Amino acid sequence: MEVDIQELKAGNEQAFRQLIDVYSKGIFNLCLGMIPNREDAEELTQDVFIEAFKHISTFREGSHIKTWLFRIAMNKCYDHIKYSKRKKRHGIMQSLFDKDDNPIELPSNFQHPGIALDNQEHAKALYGALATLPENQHMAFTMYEMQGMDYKQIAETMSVSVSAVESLLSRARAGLRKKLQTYYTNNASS
Amino acid sequence: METKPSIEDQVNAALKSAKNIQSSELPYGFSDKVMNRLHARENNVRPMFTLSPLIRVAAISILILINVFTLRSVLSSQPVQKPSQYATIKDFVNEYQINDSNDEIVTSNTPAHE
Repeated sequence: MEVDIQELKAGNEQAFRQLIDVYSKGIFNLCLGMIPNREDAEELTQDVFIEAFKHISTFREGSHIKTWLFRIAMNKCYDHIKYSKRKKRHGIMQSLFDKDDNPIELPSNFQHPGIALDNQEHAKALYGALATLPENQHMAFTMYEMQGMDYKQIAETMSVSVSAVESLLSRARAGLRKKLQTYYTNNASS
Repeated sequence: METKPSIEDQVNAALKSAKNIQSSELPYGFSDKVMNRLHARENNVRPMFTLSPLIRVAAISILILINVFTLRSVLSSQPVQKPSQYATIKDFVNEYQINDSNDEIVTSNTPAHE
């Protein structure tokens, strides 16, 4: 279903509702991939559409509205992650001196509606490991592995080249494997 | 006998768990929620905020007017330098009615012992 951009730009409420109906699920799931908490992801999805409504006049004809919305969602998720990290560490100074080998911390408010009960433990460990990765690697991994987007779509959304996406994914997988190995080794010994 | 999974198996299971995540649905009435937030945002816009350029221009105009009036009143209240009303020293003496002895001292150029 196509959304009429001209109607959106004219401030047509019905067209905006249609935009929400078509793209909200995808954006909600992308947010859940980055922030595994139902309430936070829902609020972020709302923020994405409010931002879109506010700045629809800046949307360039010929671009894809889905890519544009996903880019807004990506930035909202980055902001949210930065904010929570800062809050958690009680100040920005500590984050400057953070080492790369910080251990996995299981998400405390994990509440992902799309994860089956028997998959919860592994998924929690995965999300904990994802949170230690740089945001762009985390985003590329979420888009590819959880959203099923292809390299080209990810590249467009993240405004990078396809080869950069390949590199981000390869580094993300290597980083995740290393973190998870450490996590499971420590858990087995304790 | 059940064996404990190896570290590699656990790592692979965790990585594979990303693929097993089901697509989640938003709660019913999500679009209404967004629209309500949008309308609330629009209603919360204060008229003071929307009128701020107009208010700024008005405030600047009032300040300029106050400055102009203040300057004008300060300039107009300054005492005007009147030309001296005493044309000669005689007029001054007459005005204050200085007596003859004083007048002599004032007007005399010759020393007293002569």
